[in-house]
Amino acid sequence: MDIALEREKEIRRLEEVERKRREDEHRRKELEEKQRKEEDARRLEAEKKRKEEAQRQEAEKKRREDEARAKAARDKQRVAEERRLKEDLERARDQRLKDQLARELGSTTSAARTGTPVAGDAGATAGWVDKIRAKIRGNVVLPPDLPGNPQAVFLVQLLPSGDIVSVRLARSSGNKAVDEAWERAILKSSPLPQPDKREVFQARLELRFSLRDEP
Amino acid sequence: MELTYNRPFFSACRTVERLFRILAICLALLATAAHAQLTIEITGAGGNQIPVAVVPFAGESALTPAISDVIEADLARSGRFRTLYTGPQNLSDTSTVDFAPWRGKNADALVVGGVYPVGGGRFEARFRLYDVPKQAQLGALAFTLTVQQARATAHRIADFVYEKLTGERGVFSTRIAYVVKNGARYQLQIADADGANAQAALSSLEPIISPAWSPDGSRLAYVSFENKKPVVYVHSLASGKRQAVANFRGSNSAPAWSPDGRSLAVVLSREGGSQLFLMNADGSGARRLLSSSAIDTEPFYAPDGQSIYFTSDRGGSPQIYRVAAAGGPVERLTFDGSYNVTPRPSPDGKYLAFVRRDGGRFQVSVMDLASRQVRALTDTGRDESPSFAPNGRMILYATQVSSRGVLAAVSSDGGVKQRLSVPAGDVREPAWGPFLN
Repeated sequence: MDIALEREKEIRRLEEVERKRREDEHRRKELEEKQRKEEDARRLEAEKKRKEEAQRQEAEKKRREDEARAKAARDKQRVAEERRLKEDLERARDQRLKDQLARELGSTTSAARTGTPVAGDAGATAGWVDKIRAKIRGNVVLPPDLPGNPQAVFLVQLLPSGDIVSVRLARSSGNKAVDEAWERAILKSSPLPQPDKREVFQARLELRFSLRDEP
Repeated sequence: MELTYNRPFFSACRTVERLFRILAICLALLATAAHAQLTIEITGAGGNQIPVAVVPFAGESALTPAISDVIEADLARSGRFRTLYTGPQNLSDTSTVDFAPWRGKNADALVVGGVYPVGGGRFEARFRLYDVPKQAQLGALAFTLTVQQARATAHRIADFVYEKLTGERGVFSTRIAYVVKNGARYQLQIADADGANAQAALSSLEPIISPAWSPDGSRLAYVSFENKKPVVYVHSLASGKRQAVANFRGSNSAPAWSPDGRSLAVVLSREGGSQLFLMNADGSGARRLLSSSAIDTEPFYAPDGQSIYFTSDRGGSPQIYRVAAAGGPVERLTFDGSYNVTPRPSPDGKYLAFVRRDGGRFQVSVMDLASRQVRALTDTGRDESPSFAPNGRMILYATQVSSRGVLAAVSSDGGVKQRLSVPAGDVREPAWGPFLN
């Protein structure tokens, strides 16, 4: 038996094994390298995505915060507006109640003639009445020698500015021309004088005209 | 999505709710206001002349006189208007009026109009009367007229304005009668109430006196001396025909119409002395009203026809008396002074105008028949023949300026006096005519 040949065969087999092992090793390394690269690429990609997501989330968060701030500001403003409106209404109502009270007090005292003046309002009312009477009377144009003593009653609506909103003949004198002369005097007197004290203002006046004093 | 859709809906609901609340508050306020109202009593007036602006009528230069000039003069002469200077305005009855500038001038009333040719030498005059403070039209009218009727049309417009603003009829369209002496010639003339547009109804070389208008304005009774003695005639103005209704022995004078136009009161001396008689308007049926030994003259019917005012010297001096038209007891009305003559009751029967001598002056005076208070109206010294305007507002009378007779008028309260522009001559015996319908 050829030992040398056997040995030669064995060496070649061993070499073959070794080569194969090296090839395997190489392939394995290549594969590993490839896998590593792929892994890296995946990781990079993931990282990138994560960053983008973070940015997006950041932007979204900021937007929401902005919105929230704006809404808060709006809400605050609306609340303030509503409060102001409510306060205005309440103030107006209070004023009207006060006016009404003043009027009722004034009329009771003047009607009852108790002689106790209410905080000077009766005086202010009297002063206002005098100013209105003087202005309207100054605008009345009637012949001095009209027969009899014609009398008429007008209802007048006023704005607080004194401007006359409406004039209504409540009781005619029976003489159309005389009624119209009085109506002209009322209209010519617009705006009527304002009272010295705002509280005594009244939006409705009853004007009782007569040509001359009753004897 | 649904939420955002609903939000405006809810807010709309809130708004509506708020509106209702405000409405409720307003209603409540109105309710309280209805209880509380201030009563102000206003007596008297600040003035007695209505400020009125008469704007020149568009196209009125086609007529003479200008219509707006006559209207303005009429209103001013009445004493019850203050006419405002308007200046040229581009305004007519077809304009839309901006009231602000007229309010600024403090005008109560505004008259605008136009004169428009309608062919055949005729015109249409249209006008509108506005209440300035009220910014409303008080009335409007249109007249068709010839060139010759410009003045008459203007008077009618002035009457309309006067009545709308004073509530009483205007007298601008009424006529007056009077006697003019020019040299040796006497003329009975009839003119517009302002003295313009005079026309002679009768000319004579003998005196004409005491013209008296029939209540319907169609006839004049007067006394003419053309037959060398006083005779009462009734003269129909439309036809010019006349009739001697009282031509008795002695003097026939001082005719006065009953308010129904059927009777005349006259003064006849046929039974000796001047005495009051009543007769039918055609001169028939003369019957003596009073028997007295004194002079009774100048009769004038009360407007209700029930009594007759007259002048008599039965008390020793000429004074004014009253007697029932059916006869009966006589009532003396004047006691103050030694000479009160020519009684003329006002159309409403409440006042009596007459001539009173005070010292050496003869003045038109007025008595309030209810209180018998007497007031002198004039400050001239030789007044005679007072005659009430048919609306009772003015009294026309004759007076003298440098010994020439002129006509003057005074408002029944004495506030307004004026001279009538009757052309040259000696003018006397005025009588203011009735309303013409």
